[in-house]
Amino acid sequence: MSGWGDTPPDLDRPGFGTPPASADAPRTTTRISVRVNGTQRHAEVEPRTLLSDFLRHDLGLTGTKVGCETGSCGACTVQLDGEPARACLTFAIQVHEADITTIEGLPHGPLHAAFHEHHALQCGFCTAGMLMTLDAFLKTNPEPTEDEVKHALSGNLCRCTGYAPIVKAVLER
Amino acid sequence: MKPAPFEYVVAGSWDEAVAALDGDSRVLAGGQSLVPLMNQRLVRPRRLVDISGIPGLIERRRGALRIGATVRQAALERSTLIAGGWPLLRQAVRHVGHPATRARGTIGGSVVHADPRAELICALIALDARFTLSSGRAVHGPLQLGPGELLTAIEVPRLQPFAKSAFVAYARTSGSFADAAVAVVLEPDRAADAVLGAGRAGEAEAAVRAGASATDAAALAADLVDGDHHRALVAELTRRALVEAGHA
Repeated sequence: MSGWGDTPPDLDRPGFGTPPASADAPRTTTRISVRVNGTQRHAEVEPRTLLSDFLRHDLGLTGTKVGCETGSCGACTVQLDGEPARACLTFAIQVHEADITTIEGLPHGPLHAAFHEHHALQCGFCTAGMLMTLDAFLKTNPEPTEDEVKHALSGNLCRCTGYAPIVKAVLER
Repeated sequence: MKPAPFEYVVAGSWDEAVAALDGDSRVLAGGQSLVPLMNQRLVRPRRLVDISGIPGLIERRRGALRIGATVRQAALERSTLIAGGWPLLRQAVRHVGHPATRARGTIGGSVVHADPRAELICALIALDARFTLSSGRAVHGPLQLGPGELLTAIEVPRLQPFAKSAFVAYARTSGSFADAAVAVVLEPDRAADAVLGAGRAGEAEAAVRAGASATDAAALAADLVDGDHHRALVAELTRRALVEAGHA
């Protein structure tokens, strides 16, 4: 249960475009323990639960956005053991005993301020993924060139800004 | 959107992984190709065998490079051993997906998923890589896995001193699958030219060894593909790759 209501019901039913799961399909849950933003969390998950859904529905951390769920848009990017990763392409069961940082756990810093200053967001849907990607990138490349910034952000789509203010925010943070 | 239910099995070794596989199971390595297919329910395995915990190393063995199948693409990109001895792999892996997918995706997964537009396969073909399988078999050339066989490691022979290489790709947007790409390795007595999705361009390689110009050799490489646009792309990319690798 989270601020957005209960976990969505299973879509495996007639009318939702996919054949129903076979009755004997395995439906076991497994207990996982994962450190999220510095706090150890425990939960029961189905193997098929995506990390993005786990964060949003089970932990209520709705700062991580879900866009395409095919790895194209980058909105769900979180940091998994310090590396940027697509939460929609990772199963929650895989992050047992791992360390996750989401946008809620990213301390406010010069990058946030530069995003504000340069109007590097409009609707804000891509911003969490942008910041998580950039935070990991800037740790290893603190003084990037414009080309390097564009390359680092190539996996994060933004449909509002046209990217120019985002790149500028990174370069002038 | 979420995948159909499945059973999740963690394999701690290649033997465990092979034992856990049956007709209706899939291997999960980095998941960057498989999970999108599962999310869209284009693939609905009954069991997922997670091999990502099986250790994979990047190491030098008797001069050759050996990469464990579970090595992440990001590790390939950062390895000083690869940057020093086999820079073509580093050049190619930068075209694979995005930083966040390279942090999860594995080299073995990329090879076995065998998308015809996979940049790493193109580079490995130019480098004459050998694939080591769980059955003990080693494959040189196109990889075909038998039932219950898994790719465990990739071996790349040592390059000769003064070898030069180049990987040139054309994609509409950075990180997308390339429309065309070419990998070139030039050594004092060997020339390799691999075209994305089409394999080695033997005639172009022979022409380079015989001293033909980059433009003439590139025209021969373009014969591997169909369509005016694709041919023009392959010809120009081959020419650029040859020039970048030091062939006039």
